[in-house]
Amino acid sequence: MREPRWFQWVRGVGLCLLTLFTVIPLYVMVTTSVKPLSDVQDTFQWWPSVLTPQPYVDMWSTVRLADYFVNSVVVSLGAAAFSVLIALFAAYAISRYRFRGRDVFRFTVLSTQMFPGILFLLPLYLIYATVGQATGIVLQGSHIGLIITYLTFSLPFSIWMLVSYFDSIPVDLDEAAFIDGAGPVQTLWRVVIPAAKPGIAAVSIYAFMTAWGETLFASIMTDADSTTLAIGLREYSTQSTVYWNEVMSASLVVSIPVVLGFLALQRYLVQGLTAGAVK
Amino acid sequence: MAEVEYRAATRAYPSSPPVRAVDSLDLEIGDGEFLVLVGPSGSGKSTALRMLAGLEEVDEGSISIGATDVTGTPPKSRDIAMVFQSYALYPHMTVGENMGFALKLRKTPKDVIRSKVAEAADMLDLRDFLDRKPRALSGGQRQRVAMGRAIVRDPSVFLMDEPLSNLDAKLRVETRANIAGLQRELGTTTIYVTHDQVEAMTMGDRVAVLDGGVLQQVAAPRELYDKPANSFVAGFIGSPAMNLERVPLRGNGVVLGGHVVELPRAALAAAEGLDEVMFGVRPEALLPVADSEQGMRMNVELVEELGADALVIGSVDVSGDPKRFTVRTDGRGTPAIGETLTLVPRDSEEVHLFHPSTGQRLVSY
Repeated sequence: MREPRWFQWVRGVGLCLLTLFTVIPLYVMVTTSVKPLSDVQDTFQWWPSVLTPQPYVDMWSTVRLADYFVNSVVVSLGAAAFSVLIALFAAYAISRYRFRGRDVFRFTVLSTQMFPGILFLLPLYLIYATVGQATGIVLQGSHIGLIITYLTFSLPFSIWMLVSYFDSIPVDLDEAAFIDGAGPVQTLWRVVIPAAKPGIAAVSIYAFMTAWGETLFASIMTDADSTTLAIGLREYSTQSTVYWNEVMSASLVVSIPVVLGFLALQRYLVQGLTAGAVK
Repeated sequence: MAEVEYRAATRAYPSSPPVRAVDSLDLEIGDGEFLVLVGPSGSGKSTALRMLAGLEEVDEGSISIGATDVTGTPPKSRDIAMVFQSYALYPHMTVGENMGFALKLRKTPKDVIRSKVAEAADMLDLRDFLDRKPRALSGGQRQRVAMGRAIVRDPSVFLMDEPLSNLDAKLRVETRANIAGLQRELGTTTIYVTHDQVEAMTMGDRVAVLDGGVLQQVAAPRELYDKPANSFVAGFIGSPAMNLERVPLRGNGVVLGGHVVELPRAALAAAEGLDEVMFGVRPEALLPVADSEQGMRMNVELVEELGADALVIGSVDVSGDPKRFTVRTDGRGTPAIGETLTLVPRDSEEVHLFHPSTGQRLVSY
């Protein structure tokens, strides 16, 4: 059936508006990041009159951007790695074994997603403080503390995603591996995990991004030595002035790891690796 | 290579009442034998196979391979190889890696693996595909890889769970012959599950028929066809199916199509005390005769031309009700629809009688 002409118009206009909505902020970011400071402090110019790479140089000295960068990478990679590792074993058990408490566990994992994160802020803070006092292990303001915090966000969802991914991998594959002489751990490692690469890629990206862009917990749980990028960017705004051009250049640079991560893993996201396994 | 024995092996799924998917199966499979497990869906044939593989628990009884009781042994210690209906090829490994995986797990030296895989690949015509991933193969090639994975192992028993059901009809016939030939060449004890009775009849040294988790009969294909142990086997084996109806006994025969079909003395003796029996006759065992002769009358309703022969389907009066009968006739000169055929059994030994309530065979000629 041919679409009526008015529908094609409405669709065209609608899509153009949506595109502008996404592209304009990006445009503003890119152009602002190459303007001198004086040009970003009074009236906004759509077309930059002077182009300068200076903000990309100055942004590293205005705030301790490099340190924050390292903090963010450590915390986000840590959260993603632990998330994937723990979720793999939990999801494999839920997907492949029938045990007492399985459904309760599944539901509990899901239910943690139903509460807003801020509910956990104070309890978590108190737990960290108590643990610190009792054992001397510093969780509050440390990388490991932040990694644990982000695990509590990303792990439940990671488990759910991987359970549904494992469920889509035929049990025949596990059984073929058993008969070929593999034990449960070998089966998981050599057969199920390779077949689940797309799911694992998705979970890694999800867990990494959750940690990379988080601000609420990061603003409370970090100190001067563990500040992450999302918090550090605020420091471009001082009492006397806001370095808008450097905010923008830093924001662009900060986005690069996430974009690179996506590009590296996207082939797993689109590729159905189980194709050809059965039938 | 080894013989296999099921001793009262039972798989009962917990529910109320428990479902006995395989119920006290007693079955011996000889060394090097090709045994086919056949039955309708839900008959327990796959469960029986999976019990032998160790993928399904044995709740009662025991199973042994060779002289070893394997009832509680994990699959990897049973020295078996299995071909799955879905093939279950590892998607991230090449054909060669798929075939060599079991050997690799056993830490077999690389050059030994390579030569064994190459040998199996030659046997199965897979030489050119060893570096491909399963997804780049056709259905028939994948099936052969699944076979190859089993062969490379050189196991004591092959287990095959409907390995041909995902192939198209032509390829299935071809592969059927290849598998049977390969098994004869290797001489490995093989247990083959299928719901297709043509596969069962053509491939097996012996065929075990299951229904409702219970073994109905185990025999050579010819015997299964000629002397079915009960009315289930009679109806299940053979295509088109045996004509099987409950008919009244009268005098020295049974009343069918307005005619008394005489029965041999042994049959009459076996049916003594009954007033009706299950009467069975295969479509090719009914002969059309001249209208003037005595015989059962059939109204022709449909003629299926198969080329060399034809199937004539019509209704025969049994105690006042029209019952559907099928007759296989010569492909030329088939009767017209609406015609009445007069039929007699080709040979009195080709008439099968079963007990009307238990379904057991009444005579054994």
